[in-house]
Amino acid sequence: MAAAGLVALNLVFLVVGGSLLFVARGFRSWGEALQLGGLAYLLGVAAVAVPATWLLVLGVSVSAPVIGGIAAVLVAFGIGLGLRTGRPRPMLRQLRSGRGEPFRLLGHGVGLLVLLYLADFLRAARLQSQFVFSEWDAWSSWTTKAKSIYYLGGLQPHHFSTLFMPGYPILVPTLEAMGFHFMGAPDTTLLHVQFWLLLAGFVWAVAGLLRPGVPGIVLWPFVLLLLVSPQLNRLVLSPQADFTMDYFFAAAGLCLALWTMNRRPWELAAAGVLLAGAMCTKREGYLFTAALLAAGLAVTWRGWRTAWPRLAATGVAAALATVPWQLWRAAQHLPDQLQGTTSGQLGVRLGPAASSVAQILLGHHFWLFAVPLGIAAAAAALAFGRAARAPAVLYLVTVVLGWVGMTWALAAGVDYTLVPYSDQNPIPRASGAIVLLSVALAPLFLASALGGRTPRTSDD
Amino acid sequence: MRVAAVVLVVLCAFGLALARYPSAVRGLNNRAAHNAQLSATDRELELADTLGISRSFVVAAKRLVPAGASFAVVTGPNAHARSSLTLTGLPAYLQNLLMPRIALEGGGTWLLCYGCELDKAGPLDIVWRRDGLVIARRSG
Repeated sequence: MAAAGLVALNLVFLVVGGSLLFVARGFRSWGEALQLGGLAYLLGVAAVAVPATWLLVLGVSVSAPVIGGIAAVLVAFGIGLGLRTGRPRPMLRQLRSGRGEPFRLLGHGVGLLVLLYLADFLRAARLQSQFVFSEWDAWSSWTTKAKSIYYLGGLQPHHFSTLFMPGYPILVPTLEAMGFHFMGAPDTTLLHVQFWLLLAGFVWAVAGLLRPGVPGIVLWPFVLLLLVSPQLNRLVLSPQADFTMDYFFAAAGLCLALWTMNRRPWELAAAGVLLAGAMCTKREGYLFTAALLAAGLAVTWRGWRTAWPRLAATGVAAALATVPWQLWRAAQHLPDQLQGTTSGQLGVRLGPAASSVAQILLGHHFWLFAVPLGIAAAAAALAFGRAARAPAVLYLVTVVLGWVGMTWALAAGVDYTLVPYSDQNPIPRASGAIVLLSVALAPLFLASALGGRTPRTSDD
Repeated sequence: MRVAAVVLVVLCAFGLALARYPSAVRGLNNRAAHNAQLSATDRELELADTLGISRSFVVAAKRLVPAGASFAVVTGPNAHARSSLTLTGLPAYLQNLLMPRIALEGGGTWLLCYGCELDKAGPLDIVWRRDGLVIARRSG
């Protein structure tokens, strides 16, 4: 029964996101709608959970009827406006296949390995205890907040302020509390399945946005590389915010990269919704969003008259989504948890911090060289693939800005150790955003380098 | 040249993934097998075991402190903690586990004393006691 509730909540996300994609672009076939289902799912999570945080700030709970109400409004808006504006309605039409692509069978084989690995993950998630040592932040902060929201009917300042890191963004506790309401009780074991669904949704989103333009043999090895990486295996099922923010950010990065190639408005709109989700999930979301949008400005400087206002509007709209929580946090005098240091210490720590971040990002220990491979793929796109040059520059600038930002954060936090392989170093977790972006974009770059083939969804 | 560059990058990604795949699958299977053999109670108490927190203390607190009541966790020198993590992790663990009971720092109608000095705690009705660990209702 609890599992059925969790599935129902996630179907709500899928339907809401699908409705938003319908108004933004329409679907020419049901196959195309299915192909973009992963993106729809992530959009739905952000589009429902972000307003839910606003309602919490206003003193409303996130019970099932309230979530149903948010969803109904969004679906009515998406379907209603989509029909009114004549968006293409899905028809029974065959999806373009990847027939004729190189090493098709081998690509399917690697894709099968991805599916099998996801199934193994689900088997582990289904009965995973929340209370294990590696999930320290989950039980000391995230699910404690979620239980507080669930049991006390919303944000109760007198209680919330006593919890660990009370001033941190609340999208994940809100998502967990919504899950508890749909499950009928705070089942912290089943809650792990929610985090598996987010992982599966991200894989689906990346594959759906890139296939069939990107051959399977180019796409799936990178997805597999991400799935088997040690850092992902250690933390991806934990009911905490790191990977949730990473999914939003990396999917937004992929949408923005496609927008720099195609300039289709729906890609930028999707990026905006996902970036709002990222910023409402973790403080690092602000940093990575700023890096991505700054890179977007740099890439589009030739057409700045049209591109920059759109990018700026996207960034402002995404940032506005975080305002209600920030106002509430300030009104309750909750610290924003930004760690500070003296400028003298910052100067001393900057060099070692930069080296530490580089080792984590570029090394094998946490992420199996995913970022160096992403950089190599971007270099190949710059050298050989005309179509994906703008996304390649977007990616490289984002990586550099992300590295600078993480260096600053690590150097400024005097409580953080600079040793890369310590649990007291936050960068192995924070770096996931750049790693997931690398994995999402590398296949695009390589497909472009292969001969100008560019990823197309069926509306091309 | 461009095909060679693409093939090289894809092969690197695939090779790294394949090299790691067997141990990653083994890790997941071990985890799934471990999870499957735990009972619901074991799952709740797994962290208590890891941190060295007394199982009987946690179980008694869940049984004796009523839902909706407030409680304070006080630690002290009589806890004989296995490591410093025991006392560091205890308040947050109980705060999460015992909800909807509400943890109040230094207050609350219930005292969960983990090796604390009882003579400093004021008047109490002790309802459970074992090896320096006490669960009591404040009677003042």
